[in-house]
Amino acid sequence: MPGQIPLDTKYYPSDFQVVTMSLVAVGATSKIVMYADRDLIIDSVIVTIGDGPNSNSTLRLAYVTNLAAPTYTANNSTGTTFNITTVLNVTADTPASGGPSLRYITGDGTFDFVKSAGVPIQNIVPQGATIWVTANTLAGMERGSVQIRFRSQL
Amino acid sequence: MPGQIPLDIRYYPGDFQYTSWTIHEPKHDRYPVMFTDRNVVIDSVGVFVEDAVNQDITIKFVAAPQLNVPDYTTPITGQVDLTTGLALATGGTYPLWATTAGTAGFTLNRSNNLLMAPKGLWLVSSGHFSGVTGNLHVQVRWRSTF
Repeated sequence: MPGQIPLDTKYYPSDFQVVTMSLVAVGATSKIVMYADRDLIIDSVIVTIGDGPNSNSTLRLAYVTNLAAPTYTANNSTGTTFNITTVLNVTADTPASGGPSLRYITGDGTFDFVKSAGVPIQNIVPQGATIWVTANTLAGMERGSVQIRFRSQL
Repeated sequence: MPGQIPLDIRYYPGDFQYTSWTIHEPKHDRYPVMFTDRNVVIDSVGVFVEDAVNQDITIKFVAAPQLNVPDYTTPITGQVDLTTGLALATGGTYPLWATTAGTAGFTLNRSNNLLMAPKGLWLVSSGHFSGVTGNLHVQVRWRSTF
């Protein structure tokens, strides 16, 4: 079937989308979630921990303005790495018994958007940036997922 | 860059979305695929199995209360089957792409595909996916307008 010239993003209607990715302990501890091909606002995040890591860990969402994987500790408001959320504490082997651990960025208060003086919330991701999940360790983690709701209409 | 107050889900327009989800070399028998933050209808589910399985298993999609892990054979309280089972046999033909939108042997249960938030959509199997060396891909079409 013949194709068409790709439509430039600027001609797309506003995005109101959901992105979901699986989160498992394979490879590096920074996992890319998506690339922002236009300015985006993150409105909510749902993180699921099916099988916890071997040791206590913390997760958070960050974006970088280049393609380099962010490190867990990096964050500044003038460089290339910006933390979108505060840390989500994950207890080792949680939940070894019982159900998965489910955390909303809005509602249950277990983690939140980063707030600081003069910058109330760092949830706008500029065009060209990549969104990542960073952790201090993922070893042993299985059946995790990250689900993000975002829009392009500022 | 400064941010904005997050928009509450009730101010979002109606969703007409699909969620795609991939895991390499799956080894468990239950995986969370997505969680609903508003009431949604599941219109179709597709699964792509890249490589052969090393034991006969059957998979299906179920909905369960958000914090509960569903079971394949003994449904927990509130668990409902969204689909019939799809048999994955050793010696079968792979890669395999099956969808509830038309492929025989794998259908959507239309009486259970309305998920009242918050709920989880899970992929469950009658046995572990151990031995699958390729990717397992899941694609779900859903909407919030009904």
